[in-house]
Amino acid sequence: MKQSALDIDVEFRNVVKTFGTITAVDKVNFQIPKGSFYSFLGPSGCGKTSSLRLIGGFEQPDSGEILIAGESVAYIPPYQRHVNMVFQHYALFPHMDVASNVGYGLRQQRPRISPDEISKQVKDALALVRLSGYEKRRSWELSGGQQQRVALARALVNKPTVLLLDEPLAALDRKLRKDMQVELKTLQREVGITFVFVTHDQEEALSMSDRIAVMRDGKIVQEGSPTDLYRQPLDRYVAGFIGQSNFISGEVVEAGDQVKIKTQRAVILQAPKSKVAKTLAVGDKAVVAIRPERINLRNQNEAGSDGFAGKVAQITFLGDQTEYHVETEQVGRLLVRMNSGYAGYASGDPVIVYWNQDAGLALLDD
Amino acid sequence: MRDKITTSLRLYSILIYIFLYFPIALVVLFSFNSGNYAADMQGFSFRWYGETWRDPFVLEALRNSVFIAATSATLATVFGTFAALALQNVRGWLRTLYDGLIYIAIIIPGIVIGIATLIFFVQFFGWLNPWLQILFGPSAPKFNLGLPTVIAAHTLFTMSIVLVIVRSRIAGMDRSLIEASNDLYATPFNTFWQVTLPQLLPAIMAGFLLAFTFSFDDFIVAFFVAGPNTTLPIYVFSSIRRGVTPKINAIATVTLIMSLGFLFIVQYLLTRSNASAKKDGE
Ligand SMILES: Nc1ncnc2c1ncn2[C@@H]1O[C@H](COP(=O)(O)OP(=O)(O)OP(=O)(O)O)[C@@H](O)[C@H]1O
Ligand SMILES: [Mg+2]
Repeated sequence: MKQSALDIDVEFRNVVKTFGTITAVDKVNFQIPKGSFYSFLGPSGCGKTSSLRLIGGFEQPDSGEILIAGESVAYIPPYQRHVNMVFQHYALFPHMDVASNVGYGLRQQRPRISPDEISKQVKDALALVRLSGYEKRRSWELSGGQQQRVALARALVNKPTVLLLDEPLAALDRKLRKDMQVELKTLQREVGITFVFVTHDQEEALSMSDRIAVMRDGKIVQEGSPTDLYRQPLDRYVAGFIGQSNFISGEVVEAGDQVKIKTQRAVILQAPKSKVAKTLAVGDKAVVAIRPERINLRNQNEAGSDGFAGKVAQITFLGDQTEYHVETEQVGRLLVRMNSGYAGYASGDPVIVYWNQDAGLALLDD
Repeated sequence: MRDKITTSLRLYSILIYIFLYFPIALVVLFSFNSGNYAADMQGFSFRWYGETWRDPFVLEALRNSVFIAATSATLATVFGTFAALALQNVRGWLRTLYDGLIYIAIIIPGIVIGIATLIFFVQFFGWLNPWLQILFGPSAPKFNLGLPTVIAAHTLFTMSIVLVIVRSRIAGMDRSLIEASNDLYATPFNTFWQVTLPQLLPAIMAGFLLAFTFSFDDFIVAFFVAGPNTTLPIYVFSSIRRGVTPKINAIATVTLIMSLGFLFIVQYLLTRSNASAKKDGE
C-alpha cells in the first residue's frame, strides 16, 4: 500500500544517533501512519527510547532527517514540537496538584488561554482517563496506575499530533497492566491521535499495536502488523522475539518457495519460505521454525506414517492449554501446546510429534 | 559484664553532654538574674532583657549585625545558587578543581579569611583612593573599612555553603521533570521559573538561613574588616573586657535561640526536600 505524505505523522529517513562509540539508532527508516498505534519492540538497549527521544526533540540526530506531519523538525526544540510524551516514571511535577499538572501545557500557550477554559479542558481530560474529582490531589497521594493516567491526561489535553509513550506500563503490576493495555487502546481509538509506544514486552506490543517495528542493535529488523510479524517473520530473531517458536536447525539442500533443510541428524524437513525473507540458497544455514500450537501429538500405536517418535519429558498446565516438552531422537526437544480438553499424556509417555508441512517456516539462521 | 559497660558508657556520655552544655545552660540561667552581677543569682526576672533592649550601643550593634547578615546572606544566596546551576554543566578535571576550591573556602579558618581580606582591602583601597583623588579631585569618595567590607568578606565564605547545599539538591533532582516541562511547551526560561526554581526552593531557603546564621554569629572575620563599626559579637567581645554583665548573658541567650531556631528550620527544609526528591526518583 502506497501512502501519500499527508497520511504520515512521523517519518525517519536514514536517522543515525550515536553516544560516544555506541550507535543507539543506526540508519533507521520508518513511516508512522496518521492515527495509528505504532510500537517499537526490542530487547533492552536496542535503541527504542533513543528513537522516541529523537521524535520528542530531546536528542538531535547525527545524520538523517526526521519529519513530523510532513515537516522536517531539525533544530526545532521540544517545546515547539506538537508532540507530547508520557515518561516512563511519569515525571509528574511534585510541587503541583493534579489539575495544575494536567493544565501545565495549556498554561504555556500564547496567546493565553483563559483560566476558565483551561479548567474546563483539564476537567474533560481527567474525565477521559476516569479520574474526575482528583483535581486537588498531589502526585504522591496517587497509586501507580492513577499517576500513569494523570501523565496521560497531561499529555492528551494538548491534543498533540503524536503521543509518545516510553514503557508506560512497565511499573504497573500484571493485573493493572492488562487493564491499562485495553484502556490505552480504547483511548487511542477514541481520541484518534497517533500513539508511538515503546515496549520490550512482545505480548503487550501484539495486543495493542496496529503496526510494530522490531528493533535490534539500533536497527529495525522488520516492520509490519502483528499478524504479519507472527505469521511471516523475516528471520530467526523476529520469530523468536514475537511469540514462541521451535527451531530445528540445518542446511538448505533444495531452495525455492518450498525449502528442504537437512538437519544434523540427516533428517530432511520441508517447509515454505517466509514470504518477506530473501531467497535461501543451497548450502545456507537455516532453521525450520514451528509455533508450538501448530504441532500435534499422537500415541505411537495410532495410525499415521509421518512424524517423529519421542517421549514426553515435561508437562506445564496453563489452564485452558497444556504445554508438553517432547524429547525426540531425530529433531531434538520440541515444545507442543494443545488444548487441555483434548489429550491427556503423562510424563514419560511415548508419543509421535507431527505437523503439516505448511505449519513450519524456513528461515535464515543467524 | 555487658551491663556494666553499657552503664559506664551511658554515664560517660551524660558527663560529656554536661561538660558541653552546662556552660551554655549557665549563660541562659544567669540571663534571667535579677541581681547586678553575672555570676551571683539573686532572683528570676526579665530585667536584663529590658535593659539590653534600651541600650543604644547594643541596638546599634544589632542593627549592624542584622544588616550585614541579611545583605551578605542575600548576595551569597544569589551567587551560590547561580554558581550551583552553572556547575551542573562542568565536567572532568575542571569540576574537580572547582569542587576543591569550594571545600577549601568552607574549611579555611576564619582567622585566615580575616587576615587575607583585611590585607586585600587595605592594599586595594591604598591603591584605589589616590587614583580616585587624581580623577575626581579632593571631593572624590574615599573607600575605607566598614560595613560593606564585612558584607563582602561574609559573602565570600557563606556563598560556598549555599553552593554546596543547592548543588546537592540539583544532583538529587529528577532530570525528567525538566524534560517534561520542555515537552509541555514551556520555554527554557519558563521551565526555570515553574519547575527548576520551585524544586530548588527549600535548599535555597536553607542556604540563606545558614548563611545568615554564619554571618550573624561571626566574630573573627568581622573583627578584622569592620573598621570602626561594631557588630553584636564585637560588642560582646569588647564589653566582656569590662566584666561579664547579665546583659551579655541576655544577648547570648537571644542569639542562641535565634541560631537554634534557624538551624531547626534548615534541618526541616532539607529533610523535606530530600524526601520529595526520593519520591520523584521512584
Ligand atoms: N544519554 C546517553 N549517553 C550514552 N549512551 C546512551 C545514552 N542514551 C542511550 N545510550 C545508549 O544507547 C543504547 C540504546 O539506548 P536506549 O535507551 O535507546 O535503549 P532502549 O531500547 O530504550 O533500552 P531499554 O529497554 O533498556 O530502555 C544503549 O546502549 C544505551 O547505553
Ligand atoms: Mg528505554
